[in-house]
Amino acid sequence: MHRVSLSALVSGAALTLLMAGPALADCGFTGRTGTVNVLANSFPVLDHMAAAMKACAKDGLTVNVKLTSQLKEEVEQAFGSGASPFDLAQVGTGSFTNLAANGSLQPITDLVLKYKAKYDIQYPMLITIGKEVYGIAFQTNLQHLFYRKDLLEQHNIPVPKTYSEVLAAAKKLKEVGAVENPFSAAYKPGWDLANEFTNIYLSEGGKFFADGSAEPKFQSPEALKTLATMKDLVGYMSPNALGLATGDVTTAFQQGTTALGILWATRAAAMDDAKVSKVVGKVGFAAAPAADIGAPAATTQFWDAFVMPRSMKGDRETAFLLLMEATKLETMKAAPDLANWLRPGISVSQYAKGVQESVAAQAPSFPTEPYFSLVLAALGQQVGDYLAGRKTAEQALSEATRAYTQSAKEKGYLK
Amino acid sequence: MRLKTLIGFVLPSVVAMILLIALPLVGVIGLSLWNSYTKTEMVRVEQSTPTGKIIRTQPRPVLDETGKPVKVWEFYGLKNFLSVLDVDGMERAFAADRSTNPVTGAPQSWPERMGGVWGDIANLSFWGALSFTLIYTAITTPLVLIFGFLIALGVHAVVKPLKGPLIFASLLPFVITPVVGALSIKWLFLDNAVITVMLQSLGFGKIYFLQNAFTTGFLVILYGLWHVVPFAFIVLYAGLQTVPQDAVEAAVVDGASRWQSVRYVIMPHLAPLFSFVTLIHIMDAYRVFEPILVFSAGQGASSLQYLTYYLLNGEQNFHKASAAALLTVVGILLLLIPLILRTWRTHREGA
Repeated sequence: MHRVSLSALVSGAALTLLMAGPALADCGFTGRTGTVNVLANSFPVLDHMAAAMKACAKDGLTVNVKLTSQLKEEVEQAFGSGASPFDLAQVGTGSFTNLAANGSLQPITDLVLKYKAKYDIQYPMLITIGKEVYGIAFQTNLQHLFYRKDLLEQHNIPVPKTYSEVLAAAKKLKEVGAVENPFSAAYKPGWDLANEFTNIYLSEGGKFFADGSAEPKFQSPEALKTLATMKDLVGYMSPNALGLATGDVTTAFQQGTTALGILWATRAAAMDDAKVSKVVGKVGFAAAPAADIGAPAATTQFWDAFVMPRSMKGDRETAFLLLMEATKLETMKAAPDLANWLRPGISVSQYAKGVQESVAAQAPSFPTEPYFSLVLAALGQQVGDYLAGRKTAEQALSEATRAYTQSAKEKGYLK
Repeated sequence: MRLKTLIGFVLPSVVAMILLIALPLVGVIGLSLWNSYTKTEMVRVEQSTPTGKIIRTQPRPVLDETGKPVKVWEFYGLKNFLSVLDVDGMERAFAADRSTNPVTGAPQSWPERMGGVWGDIANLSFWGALSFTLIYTAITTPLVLIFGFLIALGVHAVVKPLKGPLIFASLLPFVITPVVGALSIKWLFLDNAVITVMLQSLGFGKIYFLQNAFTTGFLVILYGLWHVVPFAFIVLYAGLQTVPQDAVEAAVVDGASRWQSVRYVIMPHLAPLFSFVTLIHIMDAYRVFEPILVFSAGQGASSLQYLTYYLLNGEQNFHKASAAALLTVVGILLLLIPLILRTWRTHREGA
C-alpha cells in the first residue's frame, strides 16, 4: 500500500518534470556512425544545444560534449594543435578572431550549400571571410541601458537616449535623493573598464588604428571626450565604482540602489527573479545611450558561433549535421528566452528589447583586429589611473599608446 | 655510509628536484631571454558576420608548405627585463621638468620635485606593484606572528573539550580556496554588504572600502591576515605542546608573572618556529595575488604576481611574464638573505 503510493508519487513527479522542461525535437538525420567530440561554454543555452546534439547519439553514433568555463584557452590550444581533439566548438567574437588569424579554422562552404535548404540556414548566421564560410552563428549579446521604470516616471524623466541625457537624469535623481547611486556600470580596471571606454569611444566616432595598419590612433580628441564623459558618470556612481564588475552592478540593480546602468542583455531576466531581486517588474530595457544625438548606440555587438578545426579527426559531415541540429529552428524555439537567438521571430520577449533597440540604433560590432586585445590591456590600466585621479587624461592616453606600441612591437604587428 | 647507500637515499629527491624545480626554472630563464610571435602579412579581406560586413586590410598568418603558421623567434637578451622594469618610464620620470608645479605653475622646492619624481615612478606598473608588495609584506609579517601567537596561547589555555572545535574554527580561513575567500571578503565589504551596513548602524557612517588605493590596500591586508594567521597559529600551537612544563613551573615558583613566563620561557623556546613562520610568510606575502585580482584588478594596490598574470593574460606575452616572474624570485631571495644568514649562523654556533 505504502509502496504503491510512493511509486505513483515518483512517476507523477517525473511526468511533471518531463512536461515542464522544454520539449526537444527528435534528431533530424540517421545512418551516421563514429564519434564526434564537441567543446562549448558552460552556459544554460549551451546545455540546451548539447542536449539537441546528444539526441542524435544512437545506432553507432557517439556524441561527446565538453562544457567548460575556460573555453577561450581550451579552444585556442586544441584548434592550434596538429590534430584537434575536438571536431566542433562554440566560440565568441574574440576567439574567432584569434583562430582565424592563426589559420586554425576549416572552411565549411560546401556543407552549408548542401544543407542550406534542409535546415533553413539564415544568411545572418553565416560568418564568412573572403568567399568561404568559417562558422555558423546562433546568438548575439550586447550591453544596453537598464533603467528603473518607476523612478523615471515618478520624477518625470524620459528614458535617456544620449549620455548628456543620462547625466541630466542622474543629476535630477541625485538632487531629489531618489536612489543611492543614480548610475552604475562595470568600471573595474582591466577588460571591463576598457570595454566601457570602447563603447563610448566608438559612438564618439573615435578610431583605434590608422586604416589598414596596427598603428595606434586613440590619442585623439574623441578619446578625451570619452574620458570626460566617463569621469562625469563616475560622479553619479558608487564611490566603489572602480571595484565593480558586472555581477556587482547586477546586484546593485536587484537591491534597488541604482536607477540607470549599462549591463549585458543576458542579465535582463535576472531583474525579475523574485528570489534575488527587490525590483521585480520595475526595470526597463532600452538601447544603449549614444555619445551624442544621431550617433550610433554606445555599445558593441558580440556573437557566438560554432566552428570546425582545420585539423580534425572525426567525420566533418557528421560534425556539421550535429551543428545543424543544435541551431535548427525547433531547437531555438524550444527555449526562446535562453538566448537572443539569431533566427528572426524567436527571442521576442521584453528582455530582448534592449538588444533590438541597440541594433536598430546602429550599434557597431566589437572590434575584430587581432591586435585589439593589446589595446584593451593597455587602456584597462590607464583609464583606471585617470578616473582615480592619478593621471591626467592626456597622460593616461599617451601612456596607453606607449604600452600598446611596446606590446604590438613584441608581437610583430608593428616594426 | 657507503656511497651506494647514500646515492640510493638521495637520488629520488635529486631527480624530483631536477624535474620539478631546476628544469622549469631553466625553461623560464630561457623564455625570458627570447621573444616569439606568429609571422603575419597584411592583406585585404572581406569579412561578414551576424553583426555586419567589414572590408579592410588586416594581418593574416603566413603559412609554411604544410599549412602551419610560421613562428618567428628573436633573441632578446635582457630586453624583456628592461621592459618589465620600465627603464624608459623611469628615465622620463627623472628627465621631466619639475621646476614649476604643472597645475598651479608655482615654483617647486626640491622636496616637492623629488615627490614628483617618486609619484611618476610609483605610477609605473612594476614600481607601483613592487611598492605595494613590500608594504603588504612589511605590515602582514609581524601581525601574522602576533595574532597567530595570541590565538595559540588562548587555545592552549582553554579547557580540553573546547580545544577541538576551536582549532577547527581557527583553521577554516586557511583551508578555504584563496579566490573564494577573497570573494567572500569582498562581498562582506561592498556597498550595502553586511559589514558596511553594520559599521553604518554603529555610527561610523557609510564607508566605501574599494574607493581608493588606501582603502583597497587595507582590505587586501585584512584578507591576508584572515587567511594566513591560522597558519602561524597552528605552527605555534604545536610548538606550545613541547614547552617543558617544569621550566614554566620553576619560573612561577621564582615569582614570575604570566607575562614574564611567556616572554622569558615560552618565546625563547618557540624562537625557531617564529623564524620558520616568518620565512614561509615572507615568501607567500611577496607572491600575493588572489585578493589583488578580486578586489582591485591592480587598481592602486597591485602586486608583482598580479603583474605577471597581467602580462600573461592581457598582453599574452609569456616571454615578458617569465621576466617578471624571475624578478619576483630575485626579490624574494633579497628579502630572505637576512633570515638565511641568521639561520646559517645559528647552525654554525650549534655545530
